[in-house]
Amino acid sequence: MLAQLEDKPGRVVVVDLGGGVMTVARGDKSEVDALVVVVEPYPRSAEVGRRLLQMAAEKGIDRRIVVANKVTGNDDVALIRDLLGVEPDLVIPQDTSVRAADREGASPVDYDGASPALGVLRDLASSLVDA
Amino acid sequence: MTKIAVAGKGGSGKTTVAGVLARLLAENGREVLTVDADENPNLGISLGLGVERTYELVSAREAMLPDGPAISGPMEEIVDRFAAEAGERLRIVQVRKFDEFRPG
Amino acid sequence: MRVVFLGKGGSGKSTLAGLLCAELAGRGERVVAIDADTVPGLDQVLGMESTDDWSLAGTAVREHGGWRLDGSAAEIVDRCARQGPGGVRFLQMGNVDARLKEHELRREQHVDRWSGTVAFNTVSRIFDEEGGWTIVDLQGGTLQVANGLVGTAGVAVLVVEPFAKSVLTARRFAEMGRWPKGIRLVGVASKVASADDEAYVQRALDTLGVPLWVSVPTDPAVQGAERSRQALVTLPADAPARRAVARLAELLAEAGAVTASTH
Repeated sequence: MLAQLEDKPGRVVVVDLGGGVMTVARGDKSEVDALVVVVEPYPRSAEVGRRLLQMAAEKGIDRRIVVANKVTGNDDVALIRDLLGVEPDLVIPQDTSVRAADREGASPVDYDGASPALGVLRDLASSLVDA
Repeated sequence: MTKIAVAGKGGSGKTTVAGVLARLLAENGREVLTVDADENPNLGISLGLGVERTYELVSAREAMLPDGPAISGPMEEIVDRFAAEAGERLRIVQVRKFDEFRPG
Repeated sequence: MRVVFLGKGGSGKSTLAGLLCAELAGRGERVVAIDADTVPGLDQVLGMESTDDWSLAGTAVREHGGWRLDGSAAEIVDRCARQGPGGVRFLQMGNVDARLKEHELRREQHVDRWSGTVAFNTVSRIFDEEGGWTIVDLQGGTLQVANGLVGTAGVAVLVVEPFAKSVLTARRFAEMGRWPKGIRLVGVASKVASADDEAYVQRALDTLGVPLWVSVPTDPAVQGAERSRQALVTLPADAPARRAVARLAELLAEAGAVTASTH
């Protein structure tokens, strides 16, 4: 479906694929320029991440970015690294203002623009469109 | 056009990442279309639409999936019809419908 | 009685469903656990290995434009269910690898195979008729519910965490309209870290007219077990999460007794 959209310059499409693996499993590389895989530091989350990365690689989606989320320390990063077999590209720490935004149903961007998580996400945004 | 997809286990924070990413890109001057393909579409909240507005978003499912009614036209028009404004240079379109009970 | 766990992805459905299975089995109940998620979770909570095998697909034959189970319910369970801890019998319905293989087979061999949804509906209805408990861990969305996977009788447990997206998801389930009359919708607060958290979920459920049955606290024992891949069902009975699930089991048993006495 995405491949049929007009190729306007300056346009970015961001797709939330939903939880799990079925959307990627059914998808095609023509619909995606980059796949961001978000992983929390525990085995069941990393296992889904691992499958997603594998499926994406098999489909020829070459740009795959791993984001370690809700990280509380180096042990968490190590756990993700061990379970995925790759170093996360970005690490988002456990962030109290993101939690507060979630509680209220607000976007973290409107809640506290200076929070650590937002800093990392700004880096992600730059790397995705400026590269 | 750059197409970015965000995936992960439920609860990992992928919707928050997708929504914040979209907001930041729009703030940087890009024309951003967000697509919520989750069965439980909460992306609107991460974009800053608030709970009520997110709840009320109408899905384009009928237009886009094979078992929906036949609607012809370019994808661009379908998106224009069902996408909602979410801010400056920012739109959202939901592609799954949450259903009513069906018998059987 | 059928107990179906519903909620946003990551809310703790698999954890609670698995702990409930263990609790009921520990009380000597007959328990069948069904994982309807495409990503295995319930089996791991139970301490079982995830497999790609989806043997349910081979148990039906086409007949008169519909499907007939090839064998009695007992035979099907014997053939397809795996033995879990405490006598819990486990059926995997949604495993993605098996499903993808099925899709490929359909395309390449034009084999008219039994779809997962039909398999699930048929098999789980039989369990309902037989008695005992059928505990179902449903995938995160409302589509499965609408397709009738929640059944026509039993308890649907809405698992709600103390934040807006989780509440919005619960709202969608609660407001689906025309819930089958035989299903009781109840709520469980998950990952509660404070009285504030519980109040948040209570308010949300009150707005929906759904009773809050138990509050499951964030439990370091559960988090530790998840990280070290220890089966959650091996946690001690006095772990906060297990105590909350024990209370849930009591409430479900009472609900089941009421249902039985009115039939």
